[in-house]
Amino acid sequence: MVAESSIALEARGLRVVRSRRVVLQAVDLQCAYGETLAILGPNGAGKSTLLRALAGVLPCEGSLRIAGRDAAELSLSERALELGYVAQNSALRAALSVEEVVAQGRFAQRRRLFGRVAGDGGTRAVHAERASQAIDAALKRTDLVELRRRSYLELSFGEQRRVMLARTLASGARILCLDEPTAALDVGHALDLFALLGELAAEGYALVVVLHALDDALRFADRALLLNRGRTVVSGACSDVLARSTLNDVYHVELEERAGVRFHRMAQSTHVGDA
Amino acid sequence: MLARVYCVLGLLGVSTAAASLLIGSGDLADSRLAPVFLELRALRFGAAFAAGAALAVGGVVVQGLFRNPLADPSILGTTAGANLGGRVVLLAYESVGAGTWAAWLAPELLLPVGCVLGAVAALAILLAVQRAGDDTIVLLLTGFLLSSLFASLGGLVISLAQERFELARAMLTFALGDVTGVGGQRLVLVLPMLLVGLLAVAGWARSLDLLLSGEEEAASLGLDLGTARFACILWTAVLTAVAVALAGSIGFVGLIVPHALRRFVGAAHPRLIPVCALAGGTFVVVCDVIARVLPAQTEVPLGVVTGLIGAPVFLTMLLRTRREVAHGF
Repeated sequence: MVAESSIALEARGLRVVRSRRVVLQAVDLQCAYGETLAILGPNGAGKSTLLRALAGVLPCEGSLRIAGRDAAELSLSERALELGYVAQNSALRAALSVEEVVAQGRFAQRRRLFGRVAGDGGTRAVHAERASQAIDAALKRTDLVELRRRSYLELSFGEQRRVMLARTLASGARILCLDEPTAALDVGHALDLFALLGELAAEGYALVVVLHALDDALRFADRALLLNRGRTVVSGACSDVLARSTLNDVYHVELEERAGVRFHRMAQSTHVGDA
Repeated sequence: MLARVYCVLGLLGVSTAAASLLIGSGDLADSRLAPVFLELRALRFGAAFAAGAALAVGGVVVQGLFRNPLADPSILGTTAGANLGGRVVLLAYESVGAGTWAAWLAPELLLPVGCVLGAVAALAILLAVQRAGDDTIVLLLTGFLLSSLFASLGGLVISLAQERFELARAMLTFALGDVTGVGGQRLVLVLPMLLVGLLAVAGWARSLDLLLSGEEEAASLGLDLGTARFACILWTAVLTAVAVALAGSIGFVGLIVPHALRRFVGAAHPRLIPVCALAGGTFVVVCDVIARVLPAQTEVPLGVVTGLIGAPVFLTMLLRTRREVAHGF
């Protein structure tokens, strides 16, 4: 099994009740640093609910440990320092520049006038320097350097998704919860995004990713958790989870074994800042 | 762009200040009376500017809090609450206080206190309701409800005051919005409140930026929603009380000024708040100058002028940016 210290996220008996309806129950999951965990399931299975509970924006019962600490003991700021969340569709519709949106990721690390300083100390100058480095790095990773002064509203949908990912990367959190990061992205951009996620995992980020397309999970995730009607159907290695029998039960589909069409980015492809 | 906006606002501010001092019914050529006129007009300028700054920034805060560019302090019922508090204090002072122990207290000093109490009362009710149902729509509807409740109670207070002609007149002036009667005492008492309110709001600017992405995303980035909501509401109340104590109920300032400025400085609150304070102050001073030069038997109340300018401008903005409004900022 994975060593205790490398476990990023561990949930036992997670249960979410919304307006007196149990929408998620008895969900166990574990994700180590450097690992990609795919959350799968049909529409309405509770995938997004699970992610929002992990991110702390929905109240949940059960035991949840984030970076080795009990989630109940963490303030929202402390939680944000460890775990970043990217919603499927951001509600942001404001004339902020790309840089300003990405800088929001540093909110949990800000110095406060009164009270405790989240994160470690340091002078104001050190803080500002560290923040601008993190923002630059996040912009670079997501190919947004040229767009940094542009208004968020003027960007294409795919670019806006990248901005949201950059905002979370700038926070310095090592656990990322991403809700269908490739939804509504064309095949090229989706592949770029998976390539980036692969790099992040290789650097030791723990990734919990809600995915819709099962073949994406097979190719990019280490392990998977299959949900149906708010309960875990099966969890484990991707190939086991996506076995023929479980898919039959959950999705009511037949898996057809054939050499399907596969896409991959061409080596010479350039697409920086495209619309 | 930001530097240009500040330049334009600075020029506008200085020229409206000059206009505010030079324009009026009194003749400055009379060397005996000129200092008196100038002092009165300076006080009036200060009151109008302070009220405008407070209202514009209050508007920015509630718009950020409710993620609705059409929100305004009056939506919380805070304006109405502050106004009712002011009227109740005036009535109590005239009918109970005058001639007794309270006689040494000037109504100048009591009015802002009444406004703060009224605004705080409005917010206490709002917070109690919010605790029962933690929902923005409930909050907004409660605000509307409080507004009309306080307006009705205010009408009741005016009819109680009818027995004294002067008092009823003073209240009506107060209700319509006016900066003519502001004395130095009231201004000195209220200005610290304004400064504290503006600084506090500036301190919450980044939190307001986070709220632009919605409450869930803001929470996931580390914002404590409860505290942020409470602080925004509290400081909006203080700013609204400042404006009401100085100028009565003047509408549209908190709606128009931020809406007009967002297209020039963007939606980021650290930039928007100081610019709105300057522009809001200037806007109300301009309205006050217009109030003096409009042909009328007596001076037109300030609230009437802001309403006359504000309503059509706001309607135009609404129609032009219907799409943006429907989808956020």
